[in-house]
Amino acid sequence: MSTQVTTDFDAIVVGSGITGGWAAKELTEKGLKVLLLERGRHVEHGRDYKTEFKAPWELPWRGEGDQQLFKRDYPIQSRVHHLNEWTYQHFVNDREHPYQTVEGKPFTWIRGYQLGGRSLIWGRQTYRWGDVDFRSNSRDGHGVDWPVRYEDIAPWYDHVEEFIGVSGAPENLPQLPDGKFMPPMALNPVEAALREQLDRTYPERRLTIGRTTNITQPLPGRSPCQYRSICARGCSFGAYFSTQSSTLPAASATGNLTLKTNTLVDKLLYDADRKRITGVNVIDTETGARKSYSSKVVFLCAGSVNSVALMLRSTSGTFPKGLANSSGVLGRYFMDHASSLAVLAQIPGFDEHYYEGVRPTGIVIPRFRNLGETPDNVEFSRGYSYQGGAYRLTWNRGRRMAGLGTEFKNELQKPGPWMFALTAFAESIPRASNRILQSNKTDSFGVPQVLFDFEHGDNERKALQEAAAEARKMVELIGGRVLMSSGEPNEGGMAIHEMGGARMGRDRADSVLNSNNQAHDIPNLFVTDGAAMASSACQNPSLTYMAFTARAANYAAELVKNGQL
Amino acid sequence: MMTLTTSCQKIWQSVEETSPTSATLGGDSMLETLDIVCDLVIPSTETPGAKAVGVSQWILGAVDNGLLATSTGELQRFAELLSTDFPFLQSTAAEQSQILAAIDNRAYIEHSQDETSLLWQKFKTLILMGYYTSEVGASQELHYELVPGRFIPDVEIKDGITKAWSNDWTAVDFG
Ligand SMILES: Cc1cc2nc3c(=O)[nH]c(=O)nc-3n(C[C@H](O)[C@H](O)[C@H](O)COP(=O)(O)OP(=O)(O)OC[C@H]3O[C@@H](n4cnc5c(N)ncnc54)[C@H](O)[C@@H]3O)c2cc1C
Ligand code: SF4
Repeated sequence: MSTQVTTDFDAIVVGSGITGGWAAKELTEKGLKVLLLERGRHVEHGRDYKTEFKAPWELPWRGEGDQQLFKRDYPIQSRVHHLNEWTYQHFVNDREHPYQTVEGKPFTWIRGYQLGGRSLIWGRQTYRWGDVDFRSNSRDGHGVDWPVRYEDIAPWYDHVEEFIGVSGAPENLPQLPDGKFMPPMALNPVEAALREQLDRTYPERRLTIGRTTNITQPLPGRSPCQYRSICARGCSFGAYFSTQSSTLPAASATGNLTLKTNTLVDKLLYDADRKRITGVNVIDTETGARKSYSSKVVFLCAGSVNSVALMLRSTSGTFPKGLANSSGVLGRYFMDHASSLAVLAQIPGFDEHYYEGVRPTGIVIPRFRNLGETPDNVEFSRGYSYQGGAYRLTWNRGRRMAGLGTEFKNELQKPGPWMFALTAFAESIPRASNRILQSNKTDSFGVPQVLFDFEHGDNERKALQEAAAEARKMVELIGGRVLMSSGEPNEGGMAIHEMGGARMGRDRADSVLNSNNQAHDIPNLFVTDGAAMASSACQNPSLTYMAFTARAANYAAELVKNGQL
Repeated sequence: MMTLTTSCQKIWQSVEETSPTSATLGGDSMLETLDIVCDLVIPSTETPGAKAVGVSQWILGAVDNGLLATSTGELQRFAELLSTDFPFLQSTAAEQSQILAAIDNRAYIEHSQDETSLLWQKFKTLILMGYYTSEVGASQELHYELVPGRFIPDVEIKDGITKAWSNDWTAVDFG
């Protein structure tokens, strides 16, 4: 391949994860010629899910992984239990992909650099944000008002849900609007019992099955879920939404897609005369060769932090502090939900009840705080919600049990006591002081490393404290004996819902993007991943990123077709 | 007697050549000790026990690799502690059982924080991990079904015949 060739495309999409796949699909389906650039390796659907069908005893380390390798290459990624011997290839090698944090403010940055990005390893929980979320900033004055409302995004939620497939139960709750659902997965008897008790004791609190992109009905090229809960290995049934199972085949089918993996976008190129992005500079991650591609429009979908970092390093005479950063807020108002294990409790009874199959979703208890016209009588603004579920212990309980011999073995053969776990996610307040910066260190490609300056604040702490107390009360309704309960936020990043940094807003003086995810400063630059978020809600965010991406892509495609870009 | 470190290096080589479970150590006394302890924890019943499925070899590899932040030094120390009053390997089966039962009692009933108790908690855990992730432990002693194709939320347990699912990952991960 010559390094001199410059190819013209209508659109360049940076990143092939959850949002990049969506941008590529929508833009190609609108007839645009799209170049999709992905820094990581190619992962072929099915064929490359090499550990998918492996039993623990077929792996060298029985699923626990090579501890020496994990210590050396995955010390950060292995903090999340999703990483194991089956899945670690879908997470970044920490040694090869370093980043920095401000002293005393640790941040856990969980990433997957490969075709499909984190769509391969995500938890698949899929929730709409409600009207209250798009009004939150204007209500309590943190951050800037969203330039959109729920009505603007609702049709795009429909559009995305119908395509990716979401199973869930309608509940008619304004704070967690219903979507276009496939039939829900079932609650187990302990979860059903808690739902019933909540209805009785706290009518405003609802326990419902987790809404998830594990499909319960077939979709083109995809089979219904087989109830294995090993999704992060990759699923050759295509039963959960990933780029590979869903958006990439659709984009490829148009004949308008060019995909380049192992291609790191180093910088965006800006033409100050035309006030437009002209294209991108890339590095071939295998050979180190550099080249550039040009296009009419660029979509940044590299994941919130990487999209912001790319803008920060794409400086020019016009934009010395980062691309499209005339407002000076680029990198600021960065957020991640504050999470904690609000409760882990043993539930007495239900001894005769067990389940068959391994359900790949838990339950959710949506937000119930501060939803009214006037705030609740609590010490924090906004709210929190819970995810978790009930399950029966298995052999693993033996590690805390006395006993030896036949009796011990026979006991461990049976399902153990029921447990209920609830993790709380508290909304992260947008703060100017929480930000993504460039460090003065570079990585092996000579690209500046990201520097995080982030910490959870008092509001998050108070919300989580209450969440833990309320969780204890709730499980006690079904006799739960509390074993663990924490209101202390996990380290920043551990919710893996990092967002903000290039927020949307109504005013170009205090925001980076307009209501169409288009840079105020540069009309052919769109940022449609989590970087665009102006607030964080307390729901998992990826569905919202997808909806914004689809909406922005349709808007941009019109502009390109009309010759406006 | 070979020192533990050398023996582990040997194991390590065979681990790299094949897999940890196929490592062998001949008549090494550490392996002998582990075999006895393994079988005291998980004996053969209708299904083979921990010794029969090779958990001892697996533990040597896992310990050398640092699983549960343990080390070969710790394993060696535990073996020494087992012989505090009388050499463990020279004891009768009944005595061995008493020695281990006393340690288990101290660790899990009295919740003692002494060195033996703390080490025992780690190695007991490793025995369980090694056994219940083996083919026999996971799929004969417990129920293993990688592709259930169904989720039935409420199944009545028929006394004595319903086995726990070894591949209920939520249960395994959250413990
Ligand atoms: C274990 C886990 C569980 C999660 N669970 C949930 C959940 O249940 N629900 C939910 O809503 N969210 C969940 N998330 C978060 C979710 O994965 C992310 O919000 C989502 O993937 C973001 O999509 P994205 O397209 O912005 O980024 P990603 O999916 O991360 O994709 C970004 C892609 O861009 C590539 N890239 C980065 N920089 C460059 C560059 N300079 N040049 C070229 N390519 C680049 C990356 O390699 C990557 O492939 C979870 C995440 C993890 C890790
Ligand atoms: S649980 Fe469902 S989606 Fe997940 S890997 Fe199994 S079949 Fe695929």
